[in-house]
Amino acid sequence: METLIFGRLNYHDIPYDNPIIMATLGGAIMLLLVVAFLVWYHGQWSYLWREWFTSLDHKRIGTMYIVLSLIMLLRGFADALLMRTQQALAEGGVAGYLPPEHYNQIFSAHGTIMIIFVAMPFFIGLMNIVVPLQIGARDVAYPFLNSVSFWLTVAGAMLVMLSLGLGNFSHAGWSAYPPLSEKHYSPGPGVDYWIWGLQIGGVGTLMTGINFFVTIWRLRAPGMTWMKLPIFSWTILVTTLLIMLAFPVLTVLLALLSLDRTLGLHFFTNHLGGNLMLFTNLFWIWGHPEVYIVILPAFGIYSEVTATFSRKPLFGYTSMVYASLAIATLSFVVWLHHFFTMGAGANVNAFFGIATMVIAVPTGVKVFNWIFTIYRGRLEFTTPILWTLGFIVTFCIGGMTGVLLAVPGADFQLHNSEFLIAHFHNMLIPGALFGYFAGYAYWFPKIFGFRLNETWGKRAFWLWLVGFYLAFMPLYALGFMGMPRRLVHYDNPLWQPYLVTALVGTLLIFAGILCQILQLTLSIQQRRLLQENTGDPWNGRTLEWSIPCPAPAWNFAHLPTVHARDDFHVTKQSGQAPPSLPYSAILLPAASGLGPIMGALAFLLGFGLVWYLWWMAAVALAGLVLCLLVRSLDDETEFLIPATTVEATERALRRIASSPYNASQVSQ
Amino acid sequence: MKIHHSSLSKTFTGFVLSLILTLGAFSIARGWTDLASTMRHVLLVLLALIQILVQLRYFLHLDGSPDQRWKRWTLWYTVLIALLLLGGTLWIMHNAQMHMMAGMESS
Amino acid sequence: MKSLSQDLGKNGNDYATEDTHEDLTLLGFWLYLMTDCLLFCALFATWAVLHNNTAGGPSAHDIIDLPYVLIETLCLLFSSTANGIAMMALQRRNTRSLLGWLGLTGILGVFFVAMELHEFLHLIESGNGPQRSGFLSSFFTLVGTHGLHVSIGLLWLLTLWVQISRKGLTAPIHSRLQRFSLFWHFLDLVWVAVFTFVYLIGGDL
Repeated sequence: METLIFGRLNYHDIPYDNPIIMATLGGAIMLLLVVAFLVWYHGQWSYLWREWFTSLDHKRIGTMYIVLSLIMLLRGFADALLMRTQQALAEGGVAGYLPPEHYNQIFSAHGTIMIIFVAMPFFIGLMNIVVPLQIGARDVAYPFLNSVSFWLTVAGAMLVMLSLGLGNFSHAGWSAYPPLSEKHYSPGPGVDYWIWGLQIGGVGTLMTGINFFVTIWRLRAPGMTWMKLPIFSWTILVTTLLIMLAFPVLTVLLALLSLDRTLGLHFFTNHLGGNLMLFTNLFWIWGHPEVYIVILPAFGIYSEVTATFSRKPLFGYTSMVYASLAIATLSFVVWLHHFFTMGAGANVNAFFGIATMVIAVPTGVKVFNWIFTIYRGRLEFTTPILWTLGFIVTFCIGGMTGVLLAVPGADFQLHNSEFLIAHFHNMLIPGALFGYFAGYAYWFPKIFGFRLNETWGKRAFWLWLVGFYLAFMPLYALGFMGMPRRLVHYDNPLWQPYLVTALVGTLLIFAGILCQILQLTLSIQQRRLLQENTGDPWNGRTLEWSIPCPAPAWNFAHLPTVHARDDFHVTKQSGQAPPSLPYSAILLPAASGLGPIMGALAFLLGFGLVWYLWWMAAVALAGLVLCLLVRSLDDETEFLIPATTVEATERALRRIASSPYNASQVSQ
Repeated sequence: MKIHHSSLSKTFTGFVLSLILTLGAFSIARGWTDLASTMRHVLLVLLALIQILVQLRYFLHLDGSPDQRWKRWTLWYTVLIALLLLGGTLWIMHNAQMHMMAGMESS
Repeated sequence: MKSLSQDLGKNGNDYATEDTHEDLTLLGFWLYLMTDCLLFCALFATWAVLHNNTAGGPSAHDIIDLPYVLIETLCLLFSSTANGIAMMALQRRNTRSLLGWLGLTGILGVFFVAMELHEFLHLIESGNGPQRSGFLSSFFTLVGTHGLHVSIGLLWLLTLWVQISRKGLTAPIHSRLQRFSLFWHFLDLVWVAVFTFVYLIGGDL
């Protein structure tokens, strides 16, 4: 009876005997309570619910995605700090302060969070904000689905966060290879948290992929042919294609592992006919395209930023498009390079090694395109361009070590070593994260109506860049010195100086993050000073800069007609004033509370499945079906904004230097 | 994209062809035992491919019209990736099996 | 290269201008089906890798009853055809005929699911459940995932049937029927691959 009600949940699952976790947990709960209290104190809960949580406005959903990503970044970075400190200390007779089972959970959580709940929501947030604006649309193809996708991502992230205080997280690494991740070796709820956090977030991502593919395919402004599509939207189109093709494999993989664990099937077990190498194979069929899923949007951002601040059209636009398409297809024929050492023969390894080297070619094309865009341009050293320059230089190093690892012979020496850790951080931090930061600074005014403080943005950049080199270059050396990854303790005094250097680098990055927090706070305080009245703070080239800052709820009062690539730039050059057209009423998607409700139900579903609370999972599943039914019977999913409101808001935003907050009030 | 008007004759053609192909496949699998098994399997795969094309054409109404270009693009790209996934997996796993488990019972 | 970009460019002109909501949902649904293709593809790959791993248990040859599978297959094919005829009734806006053919679609679908469940239960009762071996795990999961899709389709069909008989042929219902029809034909298509590879070839290895 008790197991029927409580599943395998037990009060012993709260790690009250672990001071580190309890302090973190206490701090987190306190912080949550303080924030909740402050919101309540200012009477803002109903505002948050009405205008944000239930909103189907792509810009608001995008902003919430980025907020989620930044919160998760803090968590993921805290994990990094813990690991670096542990490794700097734990040499020889010193055990460090983290017990092995805790340390294993930390590196597993760090990887999972950084990729699935930091990188993914960050670029999905940016594309939510930017893509409809760039292609001249009023919203995405399926605004309701967009809200559900977001709340599913939140549900997944919350499951991973909950594992901190209830039970434990997976200790099997972010890739959760069996047999370690099988029930026999990991009987606790940790791996199940990993499975269901990823599964729920992954379904949300898959739906977002379909949503944005259709948005770009069908909602482009009249005249915006494929070769006039802004390059960021191009890279997003390719990214969503990859999402649609890769994420179903993750869904299957996670389902099979959970069947093994929950129902005792034999897909990846090492007895009764399971094949654990099949897991590795399927994991990387998803995992390698996933790398390009997080990196291609950043390539798009770098392209936009480089062209804007070089005051030149992007060099080799067409080659950029074809390079993205080539990367998309090639990313499906290189997955074996993640497991060269699994035991396939030389011919198999050679094929995938060569394919891996080939994929460096379109990437190289892109790097040259950015350099040639800058060449003889009038480069303006703003924060976004600093992130871009830092990326170009650093990414080339990562790319070269990648080609090195693509040689199976070299990989046999370097796999599973710190060299690999250095390599993929070298790809993902400058490759993806720097790009998102550039996009964050670049498009911030479009949402909030004021720019970010440049001084603190530049300080943050330099700290991140220097911190990155200090933190990861020593790891390359450690890899050559034979240090394996994921060590909680080691007996080689030669390694320690390198690890201490890496810790110093991590602390510099920490200072960079503090600068970013300071930058945001200061910018909000100085928002009148930094206010943006023209709608075009950077002298931009694409359609999103043709509308006011902050963008009104309907984006475009008059849907634009596109005549050229970089249409807005061409219009500005022609010197023609935009014709004053009469305003008309606009239909927009109405807010819906079903998104957050479905997110909550998905969270309960995941929770029930992790803890074997079958009744809870069944109720939550039924609730989800009911939500869909309610939605399908709802005929009033849109509301009309009268022409007078549109006109008044547009005039206020374009002429009178009013507070951005007032402007968004009008649009409600 | 227009909504595709199907006709009774189209549906009927699709049905009869699918029926023949299905019955053909089952009778090959059951009856033609004197044929080499590889040959039999090739025939079965061929029949399945034809039936899939028949159903795409007559049931899912996929044809060469220009307003279905996006459907064909997405379908063929999906098929390409699916084949890479299947082929790659079988090649890799078979190869690994040969090298790692040779001489051992697969069970 | 040039022709590709021209082709793509043309596409942009065609579609970027006028679009109805209905077209958008149908396009999205088609893409969902493409992702489902990949999902089944991963399951087929799993089956292909594991189908020899019988762990001393039965092989496909021992558990497959071809005449039984043939009846299942015909159920689904007839159901798919009935659905095709129902869509023609939809074009003529003949509600009674539509409800009749959709009913037949559903009943044949129920037969299919019932036969599959019976097959599964029989296997489990004789000690050859999915926990028995890697082969049986992959067999149950691949065939079962298809069966789960069919079952969800049946529930969907039921809600549509009730909506049509209550509200008549409204525009949203019309659009939902279009999507359901795609889904149903798609499932028959997947089944062609299932019976060919898992039952006919698998049972013959």
